[in-house]
Amino acid sequence: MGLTGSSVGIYAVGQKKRTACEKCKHSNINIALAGNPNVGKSTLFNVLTGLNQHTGNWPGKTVLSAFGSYEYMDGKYTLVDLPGTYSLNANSPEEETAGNYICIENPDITVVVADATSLERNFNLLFQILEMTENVILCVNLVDEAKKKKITVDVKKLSEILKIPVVALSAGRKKGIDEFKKTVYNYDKLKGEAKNTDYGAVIERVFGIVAEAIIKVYGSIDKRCARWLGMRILEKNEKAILEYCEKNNIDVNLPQIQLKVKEAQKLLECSGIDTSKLHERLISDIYRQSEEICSKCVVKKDKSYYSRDYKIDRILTSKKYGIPSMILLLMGILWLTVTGANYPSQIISNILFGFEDDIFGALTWLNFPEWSVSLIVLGVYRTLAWIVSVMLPPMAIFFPLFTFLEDLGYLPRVAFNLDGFFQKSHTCGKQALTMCMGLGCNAAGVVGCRIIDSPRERLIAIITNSFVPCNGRFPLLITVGTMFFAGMLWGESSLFSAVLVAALIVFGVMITLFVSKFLSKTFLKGMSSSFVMEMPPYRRPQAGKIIIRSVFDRTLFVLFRAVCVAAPAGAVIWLMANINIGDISILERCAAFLDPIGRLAGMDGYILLAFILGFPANEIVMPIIIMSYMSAGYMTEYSNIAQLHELLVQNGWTWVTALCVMIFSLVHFPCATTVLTIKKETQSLKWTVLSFLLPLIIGFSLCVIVSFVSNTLISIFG
Amino acid sequence: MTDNIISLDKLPLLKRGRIVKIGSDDIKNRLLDLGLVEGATIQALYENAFSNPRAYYIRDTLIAIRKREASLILVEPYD
Repeated sequence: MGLTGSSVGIYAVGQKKRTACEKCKHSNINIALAGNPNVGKSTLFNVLTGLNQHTGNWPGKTVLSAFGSYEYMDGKYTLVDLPGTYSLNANSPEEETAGNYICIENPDITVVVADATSLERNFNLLFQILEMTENVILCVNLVDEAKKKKITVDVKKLSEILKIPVVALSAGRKKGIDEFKKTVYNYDKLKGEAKNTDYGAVIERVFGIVAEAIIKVYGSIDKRCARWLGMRILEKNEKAILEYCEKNNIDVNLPQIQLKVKEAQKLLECSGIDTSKLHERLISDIYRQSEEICSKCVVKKDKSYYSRDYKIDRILTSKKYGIPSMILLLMGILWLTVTGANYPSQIISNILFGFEDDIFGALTWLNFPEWSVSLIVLGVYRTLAWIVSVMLPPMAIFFPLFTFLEDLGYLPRVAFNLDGFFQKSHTCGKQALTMCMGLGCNAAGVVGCRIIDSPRERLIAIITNSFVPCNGRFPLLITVGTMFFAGMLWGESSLFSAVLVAALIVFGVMITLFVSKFLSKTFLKGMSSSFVMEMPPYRRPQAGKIIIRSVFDRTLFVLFRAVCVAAPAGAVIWLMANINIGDISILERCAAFLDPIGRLAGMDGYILLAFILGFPANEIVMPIIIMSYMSAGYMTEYSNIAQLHELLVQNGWTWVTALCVMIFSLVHFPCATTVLTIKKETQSLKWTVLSFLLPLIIGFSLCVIVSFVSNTLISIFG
Repeated sequence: MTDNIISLDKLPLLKRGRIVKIGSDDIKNRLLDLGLVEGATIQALYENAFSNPRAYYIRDTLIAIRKREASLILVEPYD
């Protein structure tokens, strides 16, 4: 729009000289990927750029624009993956991002990715974009899925009607990518011939009046843009006008323009069109035109193709079975995680601890001082070995299963099932989605809260996210739960561990709801805002993609973070345990200092110290507890859970202690990474402090109550 | 207009209706963008344990809408 280099530099020279400029034409083309949520933009982006932008089958997955580039023949292309939007009207922050980018950054080509199975809805955005720029390529994505549903899209005809290039794609299966690249490579800017919306004689005349007035003042403005700006002025879309005018140095308040605007408004009124309802009228008209085009280009052989999803949904989201099936599914995943992780954990543990003597020997041979060998091997290496052997296997099982559900399209159904609870807490149902992400990592869950539109509800979701136990807290919950409770009831069984962890997650969800309601009534007063959510069709996840993505993006990422924290923490603990002040080590002094507070909450000083030292990452809480109990101040290798149990019991643990530790692990302060993320997301110290203190106070109080009640009961009945 | 016009939240499950009016609300623009415009066909498909929200099918898309928002949308049921 206006005088950007790309629109006048090369093209103004004319078609004939194109070959000479071929190189510069392709030297750096900016492409924006736009489209409705969940149509596979990110997938296309990844296929093109080879980057690992996270994809998932739920709307709002891409909350930030991602940048990447690719080359084809002699062309170089810069890609921007915009967040999915249904329109450019900026109903939410991410829609605003997308709208502003197309509107203001003016990419050379805007690629609109559309879902072949629901083109009609997707065309709303396409037309809104066509009203701003005609340099659009339409990608009809998911054609494979459409084919299965017996929908055929006549791409050629679409291209003829819209007068823009149209490419059929199946980005997930890498079909049509080459054709897409070729289309982009051969793309010539259009000269006003692309299809634009048509709102009928009266409205078009009115738009014309305003557009002409704008062109008269600002000769360089593109005709389409002038019309678009005229529409926004008549619609009274102040936000859009302001953004556009600021960027392009246009003043629509000039008297010569305003005069014409008044004239246009009068004409509208005379024709019986209410200006306050103009926007609705325009959108309705866009849909009417979409329907018309789709009726010509789309053939649906199977009218009720939704039936397959309906059959699944009748169980997974039904009135009766929705919530029970959800809990069963959760337990199933946890059971697979616990069972599957047992054996590999043992093997990894044996291997890693097997190296210990070799490292010890090697370091001694290298003439390292005795104390440093001890620090490295008994402090750092043992903690690392413990973290890796305990954390890696469950994550390597849990994350792929979770990603599977995510790709399948189940997560929005969780939000649907649970929305009633969230309504009662005056919050948004989408909070359930962010809590699901919190199961993997709370920091990720906090970032995910961007999908919630209302700032009040978003804050609540951010503050309460750490009530859902993240993956790093699973090992502690599983180990302690199995040791102290499974034995009492069914003996050591992974089924019980799964039920136990599932129960704790449900407990965490209940606390979340309770605290959300509390916040809605106190610090963040308000009623729940409106809630409309698209539920994507079930899609068959691609096994290869799931494994690669969940192992590399999630498992290794989380493990790496844990390792980075565990190594120095191991050293710190060793030093604290081995440096004496007077006759007593620093560790014991600290623990003794914390002991009265710990006792109050059913724990002891060592445990509390472990939680404090575990602030950088929750994963290291358990190893620190174990290390602290060792008189020597370093972890012993323990080959089975019974030995660990014995160690804990020797240090005064009862089932009350275990229960309090589990509750406190579930509800204490969020880890350092999460706190930093909260600060970044809320941009406010106040809310960050509240997110830290609120769980701490609640968790501590819960532990005090639980230990008091249990100990009283024991003293009465015991 | 006939007098069998009801609000969307009263549309029986599996029934189809034609949208007659969308009441003004902060969410109106969002509903419009999803294709809920006057004259469009919408079908109530199922509800969760609380009967709120319900899932509706419109323009080949499944959308969950809470009762409060649905009560602002008027539809004319048809078979």
